[in-house]
Amino acid sequence: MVRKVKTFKGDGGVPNDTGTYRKGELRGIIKIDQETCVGCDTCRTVCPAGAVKGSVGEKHSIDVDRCINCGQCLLNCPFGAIEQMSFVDHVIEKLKDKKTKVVAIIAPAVRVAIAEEFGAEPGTLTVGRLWAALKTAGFDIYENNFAADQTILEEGTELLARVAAHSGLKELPVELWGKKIVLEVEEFKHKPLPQFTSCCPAWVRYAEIYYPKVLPNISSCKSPQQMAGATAKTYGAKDVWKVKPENIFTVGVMPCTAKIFEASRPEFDSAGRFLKISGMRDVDAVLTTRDLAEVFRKLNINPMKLPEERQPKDFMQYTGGATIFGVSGGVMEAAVRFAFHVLSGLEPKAMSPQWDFEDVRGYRHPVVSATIPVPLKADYKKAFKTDQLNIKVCVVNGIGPDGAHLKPVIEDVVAGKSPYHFIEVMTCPGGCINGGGQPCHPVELSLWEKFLYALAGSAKK
Amino acid sequence: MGNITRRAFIKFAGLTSFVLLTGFPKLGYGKEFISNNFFDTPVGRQRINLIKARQAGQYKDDIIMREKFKMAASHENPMIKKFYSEFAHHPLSEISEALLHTHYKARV
Ligand code: SF4
Ligand code: SF4
Ligand code: SF4
Repeated sequence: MVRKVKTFKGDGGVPNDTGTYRKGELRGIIKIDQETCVGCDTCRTVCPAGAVKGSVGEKHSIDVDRCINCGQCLLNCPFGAIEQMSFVDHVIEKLKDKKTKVVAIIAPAVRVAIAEEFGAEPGTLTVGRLWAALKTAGFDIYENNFAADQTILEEGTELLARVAAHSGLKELPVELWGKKIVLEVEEFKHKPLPQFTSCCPAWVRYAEIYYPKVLPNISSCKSPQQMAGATAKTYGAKDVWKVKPENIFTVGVMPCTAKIFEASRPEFDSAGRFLKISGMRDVDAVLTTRDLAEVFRKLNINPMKLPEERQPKDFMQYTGGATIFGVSGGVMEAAVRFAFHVLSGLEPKAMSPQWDFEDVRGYRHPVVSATIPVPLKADYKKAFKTDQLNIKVCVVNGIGPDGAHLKPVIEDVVAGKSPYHFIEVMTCPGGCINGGGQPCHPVELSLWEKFLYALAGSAKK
Repeated sequence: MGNITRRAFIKFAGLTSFVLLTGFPKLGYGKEFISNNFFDTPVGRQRINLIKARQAGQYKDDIIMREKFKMAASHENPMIKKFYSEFAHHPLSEISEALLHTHYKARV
């Protein structure tokens, strides 16, 4: 059984730069309710950013300037004392407005968890039913998995460009769909290796606050959510849906509370800048998996009663590589699948085990690393002066308590000793499937702890 | 509960419970209480089955997309091909840079 998480209504961003927030950004997305907190200290022990203040027995609080909005404290508070900023009412209002085309950008991890809000077992795959429920509610659909495929094309190519530049190449021919493009890669010399993934906004904020030195290592790719928003309002509006971009309202549906923050970053109005429409955001609102379930309940929709069949079209089409973005190691595997294709020129059948890179998967090791040998096609053999490229990769499966999983990996990068080409960082242990916006399964306390807090409850304040 | 405050009581009992549950603390009281491996913490251990179940669902979706729709790697998505041929030209193009890429800012 999942428990309900308390929410409070979202407002606008901060009016001016303040602390670690820039003008317009949402501050205080995660909040500890001082009335309910009993001081059990669990939140502090799971926080990746050392942002929770307090010790055993005290009321705890969050230092918003250190907080990276991951929501792990909220998910794991045994007393349900932590609350989330929510835009449920805002989105329902937009759904009622007939002039507005409301587009849901649904993340991969939502489909393996939302069923839990309606009584199903964890991990129940919900795709067709989720699409049907969204359509019933009045949403159009832009699969964030389609955006994940976009991310792989961009981020994978960026990785190849960095590797080529650091191997001394001036240009890199890339063949895609039978067409050859030649990329100038000299400028990528200034972009260091290893390349970090950029799809986790909590990790990006972590780097911005704690390790600004590694910012040049982070892929310049936006996260899939932001790629989706920018594409929906440009290419989507003009070529696919044929509607005015101003009439599109994009809603990220995410397993993640950090995505709520991400959408408010001031630079994410790129569709508006591209089209010269001022004041238009790429992503207008973000709902967590729990929030979407709440929208469905408020509209009397139960996705589990709808048929699980899929007929993907337009932006609903996605690949296997995209959907595994939801798990730790997934972005890495998807990128490796793409790089393998480009570098080797091979195109295995869809079900071929050649597409499986199981060495990078992991659910309980804090850090996973692997060397992936990729055979090179003829022209790359000459360019790289070798028959096979050994791509060295690393997956950080959760930043860890106060950064414990990530810090050793990142310290090596800062010291210039990192052996890797590509490093994936997911803030939440297990990846987005265990994100701070997912259905919340209560943490069980030991009998002794239950006894302790019951007794403490009757003690004098 | 006599004269001790709730806070002092929990603090004392919390320490006692830690010792009872885990044996004597190896590193003393404070930050070092935290295990370096989330999956070895009391909370982390409770999350493993949930993570495994959702992970299985995600890899099942991978298999469905490959088996039924014949798409394993990202470039095999026909809509991706369409997006680049009709609009963005190729990865890292000028349009891509404008819409799909970004920059970061130190927050110190
Ligand atoms: S986990 Fe919850 S109850 Fe425990 S200290 Fe943190 S906010 Fe308070
Ligand atoms: S666990 Fe995440 S959301 Fe909670 S205080 Fe720490 S950084 Fe902020
Ligand atoms: S791992 Fe996923 S859910 Fe967790 S903060 Fe990062 S993007 Fe959000």
